[in-house]
Amino acid sequence: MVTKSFHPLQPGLEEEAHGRAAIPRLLLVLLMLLCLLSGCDSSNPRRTPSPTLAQELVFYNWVDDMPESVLDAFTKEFGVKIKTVTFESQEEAVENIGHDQVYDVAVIENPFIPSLTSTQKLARIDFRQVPNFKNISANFRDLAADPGNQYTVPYHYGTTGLLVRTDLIGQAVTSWADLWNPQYAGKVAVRAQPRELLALTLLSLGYSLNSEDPQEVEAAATRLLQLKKTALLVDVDTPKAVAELLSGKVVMLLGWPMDYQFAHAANQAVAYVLPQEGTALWSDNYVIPASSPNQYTAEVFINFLLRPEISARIINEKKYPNANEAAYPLVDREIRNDPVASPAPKVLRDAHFFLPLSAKGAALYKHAWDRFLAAPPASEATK
Amino acid sequence: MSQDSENTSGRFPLPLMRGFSLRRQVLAVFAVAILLLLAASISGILFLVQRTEQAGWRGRQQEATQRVAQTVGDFMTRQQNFLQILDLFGRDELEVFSEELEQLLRKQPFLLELVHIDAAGRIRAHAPADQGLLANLFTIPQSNWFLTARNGENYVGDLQLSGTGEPYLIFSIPMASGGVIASRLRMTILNEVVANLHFGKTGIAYLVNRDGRVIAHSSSQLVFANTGLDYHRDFLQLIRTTEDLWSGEYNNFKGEQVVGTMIPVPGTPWVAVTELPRAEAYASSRQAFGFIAVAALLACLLLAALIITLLENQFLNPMRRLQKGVRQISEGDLNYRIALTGPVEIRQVAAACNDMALRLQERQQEISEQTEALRQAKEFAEASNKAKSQFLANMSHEIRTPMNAIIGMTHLAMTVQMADKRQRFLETALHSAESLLGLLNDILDFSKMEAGQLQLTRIPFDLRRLLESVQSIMNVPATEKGLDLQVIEHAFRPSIFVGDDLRLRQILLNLVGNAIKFTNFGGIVISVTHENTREDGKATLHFTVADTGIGIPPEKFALIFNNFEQVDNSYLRKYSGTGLGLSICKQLTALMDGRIWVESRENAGSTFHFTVCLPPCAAEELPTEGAAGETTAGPMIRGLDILVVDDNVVNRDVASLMLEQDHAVATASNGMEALSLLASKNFNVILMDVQMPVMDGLTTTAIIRALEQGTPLPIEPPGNIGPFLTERLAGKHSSIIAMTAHAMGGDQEMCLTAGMDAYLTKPFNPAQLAAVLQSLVDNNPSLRTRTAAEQIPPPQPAPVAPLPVKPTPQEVTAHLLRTTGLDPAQIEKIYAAAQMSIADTLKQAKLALAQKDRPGLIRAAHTLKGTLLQCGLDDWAGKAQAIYRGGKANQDLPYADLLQALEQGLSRLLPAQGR
Repeated sequence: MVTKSFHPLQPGLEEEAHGRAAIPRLLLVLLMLLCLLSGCDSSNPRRTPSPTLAQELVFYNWVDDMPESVLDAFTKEFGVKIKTVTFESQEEAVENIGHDQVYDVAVIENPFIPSLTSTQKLARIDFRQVPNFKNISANFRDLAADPGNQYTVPYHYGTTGLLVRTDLIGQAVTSWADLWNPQYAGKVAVRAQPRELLALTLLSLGYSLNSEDPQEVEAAATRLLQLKKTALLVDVDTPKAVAELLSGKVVMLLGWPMDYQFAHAANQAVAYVLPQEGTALWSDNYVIPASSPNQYTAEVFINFLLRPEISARIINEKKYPNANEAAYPLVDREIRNDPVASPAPKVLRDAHFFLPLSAKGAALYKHAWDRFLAAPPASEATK
Repeated sequence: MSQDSENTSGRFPLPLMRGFSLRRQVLAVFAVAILLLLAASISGILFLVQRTEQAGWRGRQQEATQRVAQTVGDFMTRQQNFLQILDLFGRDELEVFSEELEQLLRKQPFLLELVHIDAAGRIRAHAPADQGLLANLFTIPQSNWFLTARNGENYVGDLQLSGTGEPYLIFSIPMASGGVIASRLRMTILNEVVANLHFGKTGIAYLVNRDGRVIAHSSSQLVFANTGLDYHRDFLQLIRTTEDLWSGEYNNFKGEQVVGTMIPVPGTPWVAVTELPRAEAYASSRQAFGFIAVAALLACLLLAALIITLLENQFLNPMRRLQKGVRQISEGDLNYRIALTGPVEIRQVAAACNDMALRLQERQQEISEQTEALRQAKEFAEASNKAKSQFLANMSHEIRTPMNAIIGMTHLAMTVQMADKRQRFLETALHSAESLLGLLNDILDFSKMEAGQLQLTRIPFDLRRLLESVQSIMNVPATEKGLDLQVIEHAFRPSIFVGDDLRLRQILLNLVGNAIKFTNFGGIVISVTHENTREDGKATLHFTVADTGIGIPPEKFALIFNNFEQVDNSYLRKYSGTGLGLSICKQLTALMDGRIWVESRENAGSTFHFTVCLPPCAAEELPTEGAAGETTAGPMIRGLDILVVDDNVVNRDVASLMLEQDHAVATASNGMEALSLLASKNFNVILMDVQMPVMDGLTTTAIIRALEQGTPLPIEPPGNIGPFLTERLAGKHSSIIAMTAHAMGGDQEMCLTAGMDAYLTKPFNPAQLAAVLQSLVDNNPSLRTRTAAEQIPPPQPAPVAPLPVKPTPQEVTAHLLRTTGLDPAQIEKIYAAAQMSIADTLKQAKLALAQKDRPGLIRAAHTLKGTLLQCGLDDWAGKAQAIYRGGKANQDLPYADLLQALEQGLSRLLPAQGR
């Protein structure tokens, strides 16, 4: 700043007026000016601060689905406690999520994803926090249930089959229709899974697993009602359901690989049959409900679960197929060779998939299911 | 000025604007204004520049981004088009199809795999023949790429990373047969596509998917990078939600400030983004800012300098000069004039200040003159005061002296046995009283003149007679002192004038008296000349009184006419007197349109001159002889019934004694008593005192007049005398003479208004009283008629024959009878006293001579002379006078012989021995 003396005639008189008083003022204003201009940034997105992990995570899952050791390992590494909340059926889970119950990570099957995403009940996953997604098999990426994989991270999948006490049944069981075999009436157990039962009934009639044809659905519903009389409805819970089989009360159980693992471990005679009509493939995903306040922590958790070694541990313990193909080199050889735990590609290729139902179809199915539920149970029903 | 602002700013701790000097205020205001203006304008300019720049960049960026999007889109389209070729093969040639597929695949280096899938989702053909990824999928029926293509749409999938293998994406097209051809595309190709697109110097273009992952970038290592936790969710949101085109500024994934544009690439799940670092984008505006800022600052400073200089020269300096000038003037330098320089307004103020200074000077002058005048007046007043005090002191003496004499003499008269001695004592007392009265009159006159109350009467009088009377009065004292007294009258006609003869006489008496007083030997000459006649008909008369006295030093010529001044004011002065006389003369002459002055030589004599202007008048208006104050022998009134009303017993006694010789006198002490007496007896004349208790003179007179004229009474008479009063008074006119001690003008009018006929001032002597009575009688013939019978024929003024050599007592008494007009009894008394006096004085003279006591001799001779004169023995008085004069002049005369002659001559008058 140039300090000029403007008093050639009267040196020393009142020069402070300009010299000293004006300079700081000028500087001040100049400073303000600069701030003004530099602050002229429009539409500058604000930096979000680095996110922090939550204290606790709510994990909404099937009963006895995730090994405790995995959860403990996560807690140990990240200091985040995991509280597991379980559901009995997908419908229940979906309903709860739909009612904005707070869960941080939930496990939802493919067919139910669209209904949740369409109602904005699921959060879009920031895959920058889930780099381990690259471990996911190509089979499970960008599926119809979640185009572009925006809301889901594939977890495990599986077949649906018939657990058979080969020691109690003479001939081979090869078809879905065997469930209605009068020979085994009253000795058949099924879980009250609406979609599954209806779908299998459709398959047994030779229709598509995902048929929405009212006639076909009607036929299936009728057939299903028959089953109500002859089949035992059991819990989803594996040990409980398998117990019936093991006890011999039931010779056939409509179940899944985890059932087989449990039952077969107890009784080698239990076989897992994938009927010739084709098995129904189901696929579970990790989702983050929109109600979760800890999305970042959830993503970190999911990413953790996707680690090859972690997924391998899950596979090793639970013995059912997992979408994480990077984990398989770490999986036990037995499991890898186990056709049930690791179904053959041909089986997979021939398998049917539950596709999302349209609203009309869902209504039909629901109607049929309601009829099923309303029907009188088997005379020997134990629940 | 700085000190002032310093002080005031000290008073206000937050000196933002208050208390600062004008200069600071102006500067502050100006600085702030300019800076605000600058800030506003610079901001405005910069804003515009930025906006323009932004628009420019945006435009270009948008174009570039469009290009990118277009390029990528085109590229993808080309790939899809390629796949469509396969569609031509149709359904039947499936086996062959594989080989063909493989050939085609080899031709396309960026395609990793080709598959042909039927509508059910089963793979019909694939290339390469080995595993491939798509070929081994078991979830094809539910794959998005399959289902979308089966629905008839081309599909481009997002980037897929895998733990094994290179990144890829899946894209598919529908086939005419209802199936789907899908392919995996090598992602790296996109980098090349994008890398060629540069923008600006440092601008870049890249593709980003909806998750914010960079798909393709000019620098490939940025792809697939995990950019960390501080990624901007807002940017992510932007990417996810942008449908069309978006331009703006943001922090990119590297945290840099960029100007960016993003356009979704059609047909792909990606967004093409071009970014230009902000620095480059606004480089020119920053430059502009810098440049403008500096330029503006300089301009501002220059302007400030200019303004300040202007302010200084045109305003502040002139103001300072003004201030300095005003201060100098206010400190007393009234000759200082402020220079008239600078702007008009300042000059006007300066001129006004100069005017003010001038007026101040004038005023100061005035004030000093006034002060001087006041000082002089003060001095004069002090001197006057001092003189007055001196006068009072003198007066004290002058008054006390006769008072002492009066008191002393009266005491002696009361105690002494011998009648003639008593007579002498009383004479002396009377003489002293008269002189005291004279003094009081002088003082009174003086007061009246001071108060402007002195009024001259205007009556015709004969000047000659006036002079005669003066001479006769003054002859006695003059002869006593052995002085001649002459009146030279230059005869002129007429000698009758209209004026206040009393006052004129007063002047003459005063001057002559002074002349006698201050002359020890020689004589006094009074003369009068008619100087001229003025335009208004008044004649100017020039009087002189010349004496051969001690004279007056020239420096005192003017002084003696001052109040209270005498030639010699000391205590030891030889000549007593009030010092008022000449002052009074001066005032009187002034009142008569004249003036008075003196010529004198010390030890040779003085001549007092004065002039008066009086209108002459015709002879017939001359009043009768016997003006008040003169002792003349005129026809006397006798035998009146006179009522004397006075509350003072002494006054009553004096008046009644004076009158009871010639008249019947009754007395009353107040108005009430007077009315009672009037009710019972008729009176000719009432001498009414004015100040009386109970009922004063004016009221009484009013009642009397009312009763006489029959008008309503102001007050009811007391008791039941009303009817009697009415009876006696109605239709008549009593002569009422007021007696008052008041000498002020206006009193006379008051008395006359009340109904009185004449007016006497107390104390009055018999002559005055007689004169008044005379005048009443003259005016009221009825009185004359009544008293005519009782009237004694006035003795004719017979020439006084010179006495024979040896006077006899009878002759003397006859003379006394003639001259005094008293009755024989009184003459007896007087003669006895004279006898005593002659005898005593002769004895004293002889004694003194024997003792060589010249003063004693002179005294005795003097007294003797006086007595002899009184007795009419002028010759013998002359002899005594000779002795007196001789003694006074220290002449060597045969005093013894003279005395002897006197003794022998007067032997007949002397009382018998042993009495």
